[in-house]
Amino acid sequence: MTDGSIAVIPLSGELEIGRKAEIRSTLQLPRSAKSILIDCSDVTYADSTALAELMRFNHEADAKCVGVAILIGNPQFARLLHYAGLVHVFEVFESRAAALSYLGSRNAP
Amino acid sequence: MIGPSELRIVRDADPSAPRQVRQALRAFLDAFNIAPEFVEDVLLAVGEVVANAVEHGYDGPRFNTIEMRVRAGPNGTLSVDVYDSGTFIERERLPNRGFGLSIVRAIARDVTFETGRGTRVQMIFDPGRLERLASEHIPFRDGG
Repeated sequence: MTDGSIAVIPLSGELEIGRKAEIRSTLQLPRSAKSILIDCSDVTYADSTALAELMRFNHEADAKCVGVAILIGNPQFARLLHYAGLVHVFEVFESRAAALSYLGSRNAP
Repeated sequence: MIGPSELRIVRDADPSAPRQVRQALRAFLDAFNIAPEFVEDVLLAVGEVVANAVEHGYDGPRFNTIEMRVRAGPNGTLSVDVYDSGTFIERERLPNRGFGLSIVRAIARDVTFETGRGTRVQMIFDPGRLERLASEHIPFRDGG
């Protein structure tokens, strides 16, 4: 799924060890996108398995100068990031419009 | 469940175990009318410990066993013991896996480990600490 030059990767449900392989296969860098929105607004639970996969994805994107933003909708996900000390490692948004605006401005020449 | 204030569950340490353990723990906690935001934090911490047990139990030729015991203590405290027949792996030592134990230590008032013939992780949850955690402001990029 793409939104202009922004690819959108949706994740939903419970992101934990039982879905590790599925999360990894979903979080793959698209070939053409300049930036990526990981849409976690329908995630109902996440743990460190999800964080590890997001960190891996973030590193891969960073190495290719691809911007990444994470959209969250569940307070549990917010607290997970907080407890892991990762709030400022990722670009995290609670508003889809704000996330897309950030990525769009990043794509601007 | 083995009593109104104690829960015991035993499971194979397969990848479905954390979800099933969380469901059982949620039902137990709901019976105590604990605030939802406290429940979510306790489920997260316990889920991390169970996931750790699964991760190293799943690599062997057979599944290890996980046992969780939950007891309601004095002054609203909650004691959760997780036993498994493997050796606790501090995932903090592994690349990109340095979060699980940090999360548990952020949420629980006390965390202790005993290793020998298996591993026992004991977590004590305190309502005052959970209340403080729930009131913390988490700043995001868009000011959330």
